[in-house]
Amino acid sequence: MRTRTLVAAGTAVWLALATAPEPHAQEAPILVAMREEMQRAMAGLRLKDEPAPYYIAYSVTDAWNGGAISRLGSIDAQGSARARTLQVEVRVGDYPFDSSRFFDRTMNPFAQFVAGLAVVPLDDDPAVMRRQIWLATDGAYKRAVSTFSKKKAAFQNRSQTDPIPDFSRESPAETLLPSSVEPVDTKPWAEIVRRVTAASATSPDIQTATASFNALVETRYFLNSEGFKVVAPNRSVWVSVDVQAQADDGMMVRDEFSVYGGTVADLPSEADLIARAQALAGRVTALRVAPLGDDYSGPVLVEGQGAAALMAQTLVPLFLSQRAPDTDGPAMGTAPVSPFLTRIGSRVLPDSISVRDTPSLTRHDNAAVPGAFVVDEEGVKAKDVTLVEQGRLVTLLTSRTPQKGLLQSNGHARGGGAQAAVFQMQSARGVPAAELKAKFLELLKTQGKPFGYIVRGMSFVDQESPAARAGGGPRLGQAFKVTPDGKEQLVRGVRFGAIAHATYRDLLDVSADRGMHSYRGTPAPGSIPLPGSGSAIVTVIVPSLLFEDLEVQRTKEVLQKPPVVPSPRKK
Amino acid sequence: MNYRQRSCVIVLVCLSAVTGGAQGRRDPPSPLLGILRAELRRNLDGLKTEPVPPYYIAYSVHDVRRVSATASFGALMSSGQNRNRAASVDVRVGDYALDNTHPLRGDGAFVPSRITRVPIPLTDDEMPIRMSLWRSTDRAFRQAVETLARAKTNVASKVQEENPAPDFSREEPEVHSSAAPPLAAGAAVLAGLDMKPWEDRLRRLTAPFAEDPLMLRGEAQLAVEAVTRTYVSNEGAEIQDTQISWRLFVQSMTKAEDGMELPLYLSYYSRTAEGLPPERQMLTDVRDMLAMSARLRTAPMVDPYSGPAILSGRAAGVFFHEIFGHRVEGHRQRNADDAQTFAGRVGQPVLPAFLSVVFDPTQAKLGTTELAGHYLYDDEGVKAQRVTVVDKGVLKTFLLSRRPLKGFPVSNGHGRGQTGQAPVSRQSNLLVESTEIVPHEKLIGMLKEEARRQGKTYGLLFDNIQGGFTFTGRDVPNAFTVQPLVVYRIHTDDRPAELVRGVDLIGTPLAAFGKIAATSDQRGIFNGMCGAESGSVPVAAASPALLVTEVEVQKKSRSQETRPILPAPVKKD
Repeated sequence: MRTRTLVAAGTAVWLALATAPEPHAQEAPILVAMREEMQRAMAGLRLKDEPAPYYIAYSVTDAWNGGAISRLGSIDAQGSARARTLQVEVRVGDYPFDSSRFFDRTMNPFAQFVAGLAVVPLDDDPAVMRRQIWLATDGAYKRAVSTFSKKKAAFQNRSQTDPIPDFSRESPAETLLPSSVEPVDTKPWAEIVRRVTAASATSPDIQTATASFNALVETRYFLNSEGFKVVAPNRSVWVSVDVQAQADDGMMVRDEFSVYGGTVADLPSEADLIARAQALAGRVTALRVAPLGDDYSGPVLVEGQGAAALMAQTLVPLFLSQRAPDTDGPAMGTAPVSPFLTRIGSRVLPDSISVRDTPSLTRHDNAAVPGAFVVDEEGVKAKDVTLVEQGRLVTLLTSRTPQKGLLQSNGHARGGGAQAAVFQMQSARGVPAAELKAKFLELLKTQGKPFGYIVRGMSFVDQESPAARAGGGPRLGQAFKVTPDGKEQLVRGVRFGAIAHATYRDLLDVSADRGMHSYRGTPAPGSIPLPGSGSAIVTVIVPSLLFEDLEVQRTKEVLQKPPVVPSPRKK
Repeated sequence: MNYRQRSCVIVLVCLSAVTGGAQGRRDPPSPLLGILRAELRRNLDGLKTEPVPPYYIAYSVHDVRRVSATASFGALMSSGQNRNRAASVDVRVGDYALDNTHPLRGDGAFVPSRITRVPIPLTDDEMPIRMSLWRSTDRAFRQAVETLARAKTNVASKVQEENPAPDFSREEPEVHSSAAPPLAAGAAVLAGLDMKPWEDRLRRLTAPFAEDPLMLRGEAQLAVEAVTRTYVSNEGAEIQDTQISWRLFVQSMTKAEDGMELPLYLSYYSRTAEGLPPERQMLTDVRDMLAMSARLRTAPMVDPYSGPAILSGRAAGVFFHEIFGHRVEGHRQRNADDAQTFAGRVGQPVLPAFLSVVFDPTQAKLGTTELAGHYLYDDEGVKAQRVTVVDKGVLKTFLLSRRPLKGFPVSNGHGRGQTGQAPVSRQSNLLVESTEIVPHEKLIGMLKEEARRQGKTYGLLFDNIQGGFTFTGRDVPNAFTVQPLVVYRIHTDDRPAELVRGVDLIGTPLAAFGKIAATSDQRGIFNGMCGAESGSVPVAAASPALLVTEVEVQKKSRSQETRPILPAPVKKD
């Protein structure tokens, strides 16, 4: 086994290739404790008449997080916390069929979530670290044995025509990156977000303006029994601003923006944040008095942030390889499987379009790319992946949970399941933005439409319940009714109709210029969220989109009357 | 409300505490009071012309500062602090006789919580605070109007209530402020608190656990909390006070060879840092805990048993809290789903004539021990009162909030709830008093005597207890379970007391009360947290040791997980 040492001297940290057989002299105490317990467990952890573990993985996240929340010029909360959490994974069986991916109905979901989780001390005390790892490993092994026997029993009578392995085989790799957990000074940022919300309450009609600053500084230690070893930093900071108002008919209108970075140096200046927050407040104030939109079907132009968010909600998830756990009862038929799984090799986008996920892209247009990363949560190095070539689907983003035809990981296990990192869409025949709009207006004329829609803003994350959505698509934030002469009218209370995956195949045109936007991608449905990183930052670099035929609907919500007593902000 | 089960997990934890400051002295109140008062008035005036206007609005703001640290087996696991402020908004429409809080009978429909809780800024910034209050008041008002309509329909369509009473009592509005100095003091205590020495102390306290490879948990936590409450109502009540609590909690767990988990707990509670015992004593207690864990691992299991037993003072306190205290909480006497064990028994004997039960939130200490259920004003702004619920065996009254009972029109200062939850009648400091006290040695003699009389070879002594739970509903057996941690067999011959494990104390309440035969001079105090429909509130229970002529024990349900397969890692140094 190749060995590398992580040497720290003062504040400087560098990598050195060790030649002498004294590999662990300078290793972090937690790694030493992890390895010692790993060796002990692999050698002797075994219940009588039960299989021994074939795979053990330890993951320790040493995390500092801090932040502040401000509202209307005041501070509502401010704080920070430091914690080291351990996650233990023990598998019995073998790669083709093991104790993983099985939903044990007799265990409550919360117990399954916390299984193998523990807290390790903040003190670098190897004895106590080893004790916690020892107990968590013991518990995880016993659960694995019990799950494995239930899984075997459930599969006894099933004939399997085309078995897919439970766990992929990968070549062990060591990824040792400079990393330290240095807290971020949140005080100046608390003041900044306070001034941002004070400045964004531009109109007395605004009911709330909140801004939050968050910082996460982590070092991840990962070790498994196959020889994978990772020491890697995970750093992110972000500022989110949210403004709400209530229309006279009672409808709440809101808009938001978030900016992400690896360090505070990547964030916009205070003046820039204030300007963006004021523009946001202006949009919400306009939205408050905007007329309601109308049901519509026809050409739709989705621009800028709107295009990025639409794809985040409806296209990016299609590229994530998912596999529902097996169970001993009726199959969990509701767990989603990407419809793209059966379309590999087929056309899913227009011929001119290619799609790639490039975790290695750290800078774009002279700005840091927040979604870039080096090594995934299973210790696999992140690979750049071509997803769509000339409109044809090449592959999906994978973790070590194989899926039909996708037997290897391409290093995209993030936030508890497969997740995108830096999602890029590009067209060989992209047109300038102005031309795209002209094409759109032309289309309205040829189709004889009295008006069409341009969408410029919507949320990256769908916060509605399926019931509230009632079969519809994402809600629109900034939607404009446009007449063929190019006149625009902002409207509120509209959403897309259901967006089928085939919708993108019929994309009419896209712009040449692309915008970069980031969001927190939540784990794919059906996966178990990991502690610390239940979500991962995803960056999308995408063009504006022109659809020939999309549906726009009125939202059907029950409106509460505005308050009887006027707002205290209205004197 | 349809609560059938109430679990009162008194895990020897004790939180909260009390108002310092001289009573009666008026300190300059904080600007917050003025902001609350003004926004309350504005909303009340603004809603006056509505078809169903509010007759009562109350705002309470809780400013909670908390500092805590945890160590395990000698190493620090976490350390942190946080602060938050939230406002709770209570709006009543209708009138004192019938309002939106009227219990709905035989109507399984879900009633959302009456109290709207909303975060407010950490500083006294007027506009954001008023915006929060305004929006919450509107929401609470709409909900109240809707609920009142349902309550009126319910009253009209159901049979006459068994014991009708108004929905809200009229009380003298209290004005009290001990805020400024204690608020500043509380904030200062926490703000300037150097946790380093405490973190070191927690490391030292938990280090001994690492010496025993069979200890699976050995953890200590210090939590210091300061809660400043600001309460205003349109009736004119204005209360501002601060409660500070220091709580140090140690928990251990080991496993017997058969996999049974054997937990033990230690807790220390005070309103000041100085009130906690010195480290030396805590370390001695930890060593005793370790020794007891080792003994418990090899202690024999007890078979199901029915016979005489002694409950130590602490155990008896929990016993009374569970099986008696919860049944004298006033609002249960009106709840149609409740078994109402004691409704209609006022003036009648319910306990042996030598026993009295007093609930006294005004009492800060018993002997040298601080009591966790101490407060001066309850969560409805009513002045705390000492209440003798049972006098020489005879039931006199109930624990009352501002929800009156027939014959009991006003509160006795026991309306309590966790921050953000609608208060109901809850316990405070439960004090069991006895006029027939024998020396403890004699009580043990009486136990042996009773065992012999019943043809048993031993009686049981319940020395330490984890907590318990009880059911008071109508459609479940009216039973209780108390979970003992340390139990001894007291043999009728001269053999010494023998430690045993693996039993729960079970029974039905009325039968149990009748079997209390004597009390001893050994008194125990239990400070804990009690959970029920209005959330978790700090309570205390104090009682002399009790001899009960018949208890029933059943086997504890136990973990099926064996001890760890590999031995504990060996320390290399």
